[in-house]
Amino acid sequence: MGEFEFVTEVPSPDRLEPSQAVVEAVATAEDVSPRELSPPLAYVVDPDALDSLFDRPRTDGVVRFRYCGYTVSVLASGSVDVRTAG
Amino acid sequence: MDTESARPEMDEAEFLERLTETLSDPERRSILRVLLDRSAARPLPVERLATKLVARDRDAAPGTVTDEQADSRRTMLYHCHLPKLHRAAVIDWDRTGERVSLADRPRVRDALSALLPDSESHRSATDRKWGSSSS
Repeated sequence: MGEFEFVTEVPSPDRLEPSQAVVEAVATAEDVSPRELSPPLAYVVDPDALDSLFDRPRTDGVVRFRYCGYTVSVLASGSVDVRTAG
Repeated sequence: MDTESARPEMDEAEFLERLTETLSDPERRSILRVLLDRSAARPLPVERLATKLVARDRDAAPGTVTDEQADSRRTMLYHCHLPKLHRAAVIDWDRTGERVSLADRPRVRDALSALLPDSESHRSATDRKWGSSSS
């Protein structure tokens, strides 16, 4: 099926960088601790680049990539949503 | 697991490019300073590294750092900073054994000794101006 099943969304408050929010959200979806995810996020997307894209308020745009079998979207608000193929 | 052999050889130009990219981040500079200042040759457990980094930020003794504080620091060590330092060939990282050490190459130690400030904290220049002492 081409549909995505919504798994989890982590709002990104000021204290969490988008890269941190991504690993928290995927870990939540997988029900493991963030350090049990493999590979490390840096092998899939550059965490510094991801964070710098969102280091000022954005009104539009989304960054989407595959990580640990999920489709991860970082939204303009800095929120992260994690979906798996349904 | 990441091993030395899994890393392709780099020429000098590529080494310098990756080194400067990796040094552009204050957390990575702190990691390298901690590793450079160690006299022990054996690899440092990542848990200890995280504790030292939290302590450095606060000019506090490592013994005052809680497990919870060190634990949250370890997450981005694992997901961001250690992979980048490893890819830049400045550290050896045993991902499964969770240990790190400075790469055993003369040019790594020499380059870092020349480039890294002796001490640096994450506090802003404003904080320093207002008189917190820095060891």
